[in-house]
Amino acid sequence: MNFVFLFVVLAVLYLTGLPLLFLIYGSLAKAIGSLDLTGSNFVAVYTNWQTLVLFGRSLLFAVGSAFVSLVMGGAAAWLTQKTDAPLKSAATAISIISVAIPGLFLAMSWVVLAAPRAGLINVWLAQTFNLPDDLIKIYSLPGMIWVEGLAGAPFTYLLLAPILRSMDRSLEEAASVSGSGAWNRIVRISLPLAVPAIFSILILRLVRGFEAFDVPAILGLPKGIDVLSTKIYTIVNMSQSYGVANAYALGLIVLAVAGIYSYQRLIRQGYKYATVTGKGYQAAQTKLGPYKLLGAGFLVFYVLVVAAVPLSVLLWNSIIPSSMLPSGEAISQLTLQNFRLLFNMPRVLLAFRNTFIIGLVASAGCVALALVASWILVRTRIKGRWLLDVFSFVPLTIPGITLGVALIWIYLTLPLPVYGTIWILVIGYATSFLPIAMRFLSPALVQINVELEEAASTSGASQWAIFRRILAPLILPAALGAALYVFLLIFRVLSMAIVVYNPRTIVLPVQIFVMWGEARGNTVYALLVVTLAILTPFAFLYNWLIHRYARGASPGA
Amino acid sequence: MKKLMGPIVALGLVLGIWAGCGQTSATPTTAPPPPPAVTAKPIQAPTLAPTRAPTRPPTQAATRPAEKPRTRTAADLAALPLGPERQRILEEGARQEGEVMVYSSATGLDSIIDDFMNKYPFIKADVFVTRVPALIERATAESKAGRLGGDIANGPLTVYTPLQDLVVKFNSPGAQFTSAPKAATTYVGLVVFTYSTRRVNPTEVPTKVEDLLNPRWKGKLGLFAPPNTFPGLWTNMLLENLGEAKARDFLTKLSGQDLFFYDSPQIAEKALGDGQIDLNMQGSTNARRRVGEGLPLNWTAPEPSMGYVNLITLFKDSKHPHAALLLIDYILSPEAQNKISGMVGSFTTREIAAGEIDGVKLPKTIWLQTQERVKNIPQGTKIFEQLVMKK
Repeated sequence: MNFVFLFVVLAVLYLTGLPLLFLIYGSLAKAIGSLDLTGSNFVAVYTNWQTLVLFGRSLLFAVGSAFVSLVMGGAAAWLTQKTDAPLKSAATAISIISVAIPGLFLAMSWVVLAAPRAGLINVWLAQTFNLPDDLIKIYSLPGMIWVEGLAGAPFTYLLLAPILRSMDRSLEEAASVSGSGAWNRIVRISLPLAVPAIFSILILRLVRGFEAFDVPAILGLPKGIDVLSTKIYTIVNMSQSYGVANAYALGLIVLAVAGIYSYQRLIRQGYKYATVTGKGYQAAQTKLGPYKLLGAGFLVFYVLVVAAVPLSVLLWNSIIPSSMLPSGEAISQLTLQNFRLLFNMPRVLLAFRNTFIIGLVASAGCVALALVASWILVRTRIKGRWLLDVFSFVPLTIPGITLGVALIWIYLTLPLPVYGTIWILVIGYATSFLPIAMRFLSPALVQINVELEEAASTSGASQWAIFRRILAPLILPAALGAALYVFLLIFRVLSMAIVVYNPRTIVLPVQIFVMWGEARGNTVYALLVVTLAILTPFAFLYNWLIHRYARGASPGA
Repeated sequence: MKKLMGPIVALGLVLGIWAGCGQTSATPTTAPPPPPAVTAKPIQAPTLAPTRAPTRPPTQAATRPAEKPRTRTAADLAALPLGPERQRILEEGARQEGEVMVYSSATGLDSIIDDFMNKYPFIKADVFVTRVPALIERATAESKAGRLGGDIANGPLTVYTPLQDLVVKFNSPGAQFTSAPKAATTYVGLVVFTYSTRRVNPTEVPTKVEDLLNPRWKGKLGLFAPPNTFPGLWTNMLLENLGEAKARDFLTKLSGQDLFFYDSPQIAEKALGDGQIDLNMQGSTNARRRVGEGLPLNWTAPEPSMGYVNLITLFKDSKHPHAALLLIDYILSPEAQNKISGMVGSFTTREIAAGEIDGVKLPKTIWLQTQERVKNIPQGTKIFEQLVMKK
């Protein structure tokens, strides 16, 4: 087991440390490949008052979108896991499907809805109530916060749902017997118990908000509203000034380290939040009573804004020859031509094949690493383990483009047969999503009381036996959720892959980008519809597995 | 579920090993033969196979041992004089190489590549499309490591200029060399303003840049934005043609037009098509193509206007130089150029000289990209961001 720990620690350090070294080197070097170092990039960035404005706006965007995703996803998770609200399966399945929708298209769908003078809602308001035709300003910071929040809501749901589901009802039952009302039980028992998970999600969404690119690019750039991610993107694409871009990125890392330090202090008190114990348990379900309709209404709203609307936009655009708003003329031009064209493109088939293989290997490797790393963090007292958490978190703060460039330089230098093969993409994705897998697994481990393992150890079980027979079954929903989420993200994230791919290792996000750039009519929408159709069974598989596991598994007394 | 974990992990490992063992293409093709070794000797003038009868008696020639086939670098092949012998050498070498890779920042080459592969079925051609900086970064890094994966670079001057030490001048039947001595022009265009013919009256169409300050365009005008290089070039053009004071005044007033900024022409076109904006700055290639597709659009080129070129060039460390030159020859051939013109809506020099294209009068002043002007893009971009984008 010590050998496994050492291997995992070294693997995490290798995957995340090398790009970090590149980031630091790149911020100090006069040019890539040069050993002449300078602090001029930091001076240029951090003595400019515009940087303060940029960080302030980025913070507002990150906090706002994290709040929206927490409220939307958290409320949906609570309703489906802790109450008798209807539409649970639909909400869960939609949450899974929607994580596969790229942020780019979520933003585009909201442009269709709320663009000035042309958005469906704006046009309807103008024609019906004689209001200005740009009443809803989607190209604004509030618009960005709303859409990015919606993009993060499914993720929040997927993280929080297993945690809420696994909570022991005995505490709530005891409160109920003592006369506590439903709202009191939520505020004073359920919410506090979910604090590690909520805080973990908040940190992740905050850092994701700093790093998010798709939504700020679509909704912010058209009005010159910059955040950190779009600023870095503009600098790198404009002038290849990696020094300045990396100097900005290091500022992100400082923020991330501060967040992780706070989180580490929180999980040291993890035993206070344990709800999965050696006693038998069953998840509690609160009866909503007269509020059942309200709960159902919220879930319908959640399903609509998170997935139904963007899916409708995708579907509509896939069956018309070119982009146009619904009208009689548009309906007369409905066609399946986009799908026919798609299946005559060999590169599309290659992209599907590559993405599936990379997705399977990268997600499995990433979750395996994250599981052992999380166990080291949560269960051991190894000194300096917080560094492991910091290193595993760092990739989230490295912009995808910078990570891609780092990988090119690393694997052109190291004598390993990685460059030009799909392995560079496997490594890139595993590195990129390691923090996400950790955020799935660490809170889940915190929820499992250590007494289960202590009892097994006292009875003579080895560490491997404890892991295999006690921990693994309990952590399985979170591990499956992490693996599935990473798998779906690989179908979605573009920024790293666009730098390291070549035509023979092309993946789906890159293929979509290339088709988008080639303006091949609406074939790209057809590709997205096909992708979602293929991924949807995985969503239902996840839903089935979770329900199957929750019914059948119990530690037993 | 526990029972499934083992098979799932095993399946993942098997797939991973299979995927990693050099399997990089879905289409079953035989592995291409290794490319000819690049000679380490100094580059010599290439000698063609003799076309005249040998002077020695045939009996003596028959007893001499067969000469080894000569290996040629990209530079050697690039310098071959045009003619049937060059074609023969290139085809023979390309049969051995079997593949060629294009690094391109411009999209739309796929059908040209398909036509090329139909003509030369023994060559597998691929295009790696990415943004200009990523393309430059990749080519530079690979070249430094001695592992250059591309044979040809395709893109504007902003691609060519940083890579000019990595490329070599070449001969090609259809090549036209302008301000880039080691690259040939594939198409030219102008920066124009596209407008919706449904929402804009012909009398409102701008004829000079100052017309963009008309209140008619407030909140309805789209411009290129960084990281696209056009804003920087356009700003430098205005500074040169209007004078610094007048240009800065114009740009400052332009910022008050509640502008939309797009770095992607596709998104800008969508905004124009949807009605979010009525007037959009873009390259004439896209504009002309859209008009040709029958969309209710037209374009104008206000005085002064900016021209741009798309270039193609050969990497000197190309691992498939024979195939690369055949592909360059094909792209520059009249057949492919006509197709490209139809696809991208590029202009011909004859049309530009005529002063009118598709019924649109061209401006008197057309400011062309040059290598020198490309180097000043960062300064122009900074001014654009400060005055127009208020950053």
